[in-house]
Amino acid sequence: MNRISRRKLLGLLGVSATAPIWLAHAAEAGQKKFVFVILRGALDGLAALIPDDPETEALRGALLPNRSERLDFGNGFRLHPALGSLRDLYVSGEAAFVHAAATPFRERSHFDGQDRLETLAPPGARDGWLNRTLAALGTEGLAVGVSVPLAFRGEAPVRNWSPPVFAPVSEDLEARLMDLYAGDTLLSETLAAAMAATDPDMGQTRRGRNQVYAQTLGALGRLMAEDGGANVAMASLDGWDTHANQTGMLNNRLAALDDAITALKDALGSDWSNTCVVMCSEFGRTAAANGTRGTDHGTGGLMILTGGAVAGGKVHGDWPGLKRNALYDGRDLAPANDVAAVLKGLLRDHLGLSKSALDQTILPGSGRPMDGLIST
Amino acid sequence: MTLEAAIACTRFGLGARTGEIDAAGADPEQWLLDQLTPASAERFPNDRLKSTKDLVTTLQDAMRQRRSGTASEEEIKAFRRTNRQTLISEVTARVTFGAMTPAAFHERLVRFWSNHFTVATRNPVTTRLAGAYEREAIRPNILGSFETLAARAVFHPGMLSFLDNIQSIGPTSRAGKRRGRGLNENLAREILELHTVTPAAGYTQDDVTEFAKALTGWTVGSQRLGRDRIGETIFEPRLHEPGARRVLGKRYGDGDGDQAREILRDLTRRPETAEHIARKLARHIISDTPPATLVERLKSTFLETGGDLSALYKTLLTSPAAWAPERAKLKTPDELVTSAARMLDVRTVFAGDPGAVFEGLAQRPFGAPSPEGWSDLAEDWITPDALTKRLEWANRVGERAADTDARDLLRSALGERASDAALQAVSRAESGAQALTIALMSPDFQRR
Repeated sequence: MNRISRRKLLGLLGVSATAPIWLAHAAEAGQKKFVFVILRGALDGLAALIPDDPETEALRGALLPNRSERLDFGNGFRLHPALGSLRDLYVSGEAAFVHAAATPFRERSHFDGQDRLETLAPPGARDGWLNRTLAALGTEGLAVGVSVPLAFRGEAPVRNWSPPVFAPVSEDLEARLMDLYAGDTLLSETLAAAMAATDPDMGQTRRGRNQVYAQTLGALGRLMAEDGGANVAMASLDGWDTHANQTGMLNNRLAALDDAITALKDALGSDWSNTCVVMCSEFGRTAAANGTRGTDHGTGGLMILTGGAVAGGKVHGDWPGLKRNALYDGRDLAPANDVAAVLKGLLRDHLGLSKSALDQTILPGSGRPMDGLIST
Repeated sequence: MTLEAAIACTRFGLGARTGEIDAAGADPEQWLLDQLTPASAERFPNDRLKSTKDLVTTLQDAMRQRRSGTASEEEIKAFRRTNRQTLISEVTARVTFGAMTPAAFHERLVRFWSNHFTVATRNPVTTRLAGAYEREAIRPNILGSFETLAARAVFHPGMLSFLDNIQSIGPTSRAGKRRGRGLNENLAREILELHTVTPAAGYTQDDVTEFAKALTGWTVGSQRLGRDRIGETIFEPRLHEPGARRVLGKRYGDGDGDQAREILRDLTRRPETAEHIARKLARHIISDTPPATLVERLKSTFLETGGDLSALYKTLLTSPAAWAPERAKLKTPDELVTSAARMLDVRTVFAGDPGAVFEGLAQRPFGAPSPEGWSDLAEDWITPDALTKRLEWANRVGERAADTDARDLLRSALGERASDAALQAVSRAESGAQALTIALMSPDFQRR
């Protein structure tokens, strides 16, 4: 693990380094920045960007916020009310979406699905598409987290950084352990007490927990914006596997994600205008609610694009709809858009990577890039 | 793989390394007994660490230079740092050895006895000596008699320093009369209360004082005393309180250092001691509330064999409670991270800084809060805050080793003791990182 320089640490702590701010940014002005954020556990895209289709209410109306609370922007979709900042970015042309997006992966395992998303190569590949991107650019990457994710592993150098202390864990992990502790009185009672002590209305710990996303992307943005900071970076935001009682949990997660996007934008400062951020999960979730007020592993998922460089204010790509015969396997949002095609369009138009580099090394075997994702 | 093989590695050992449950194989009881040889102790990398004699010698040299004013401020500071550096070397060696040793039952017993006869890092001197104490006084002596182990522990320079016997002077000894200094009862009291008979023996303050007087004179060779034996335990008659002593009703005639040795020997042979050790051993390995029959059997073995520790271990292994499937014991932080390091590897579990992990989980090696040592009861280790810390640590380890197969790891570490519920929860995790975190936090892995 690479150690971070003292100067970077000062920056992260909010202590001003010695160089004036204008000098620090001068050398890097105009550099294109690319950020990939993996939302591990499978974001429920249909709850984040809610189709205005008549089938929506029937499939999962009970899991969704009231229609009147959803943030409308008049194009056939409404945003979850917790995503207010993202809505503003959409309106100002700095955020866009691709719905019903998927890799060729059609199974249900998170691990295998994430491996596929991170390699974008046949099973068994041990280097990631983002590392191959670094190699093609001849630049070093930045991973925020205690380890370098698979997407970033390979021959090109990647430095990683993580906060130095034990970090709070997700409610999802706690909920899973509560289930597993059902037969263990000591552990279940103690965990219940620990969770009660960190309840949102009870104290500060839960607030701290909700800030983990913002801390992660904020740190990532600050490190990228530094003099000589990385132009390609990645982070993982965990906790999206919402099998049961997802309404409140997803509300918290999405609000935290919304805060994190704001933190990233603020941290990048003037670099935001040259930045493209793409966020997605290994797959989507079932179209219908399950029997435990949650959703199960699905296929088509949501890609969130944001940053000043993005051709925003639009839902790109195809929308297969939620009619019964349009669902994949009769249960999932169909995979109408190829994740690799979206990334290919972004890498080509934002980072200027050549067709040969994209076709031969970065995303071998991928199809036509999606056009028009980057503003011109 | 059988359930018994899995129990041998997890309850008696320190958690299975890859393939260890298979190695425990057909006769797990014999596999455990085979670990109980002096070779298991000798495998520890003592040659890479400093002996008590070396550590005290360099300490004495530094103190002499300081007193004579020939040491600069920088030199004094640099020397002070060597205390902490020595501790770090000891902790690193112990953590690595615990993660790697094939004789993990032996290592568990070393840690049990080291905790029973705690010498903790209370001041710069004990910080310097705690690791060497465990290696010299405890590690080579856990297979013989309790009497020998107690004598090696109590009369080691580490214990004599930790429980202040080096300050204790007989009031009417030659040195006492001249310097007007006196008794320090700390060592005598803790031997009675914690190491041997416990208050169950009904001793009085007079017994404590008498024993403390007998212990005077037992000290560590230094520039001023025993110059030719610096760093060794010596008996210095000029510090010893003269006269006969009476402890728990028995008279010990006027004598030299043997007076305290005889009192200690008699204490180790009493039934209250047998009861105390039997209960503590059963509580450590089997359950916070061990079956009375087991405690009784261990006590009988202790008394019948004159405190033969190997006989005690054998009695333990041949009791039905030893092989009960219930995971009755909750792991202490030390046990938890050691077993994790055996399942994964030292680097993943500690990320190069064991001190930070142990500090976070509130069990620093050689850092017990009192001479009583660390608690062996689940209720003292599982508070909401402590569980949150475990969870945060496990989450960290999960993130660090996100590309491992947690299901395979859990099966390899727990064998037949891995429950379907835990394996299923691991399989259903949302990421490789979360899967490993759940494996580490499962009741199956938190308990043994």
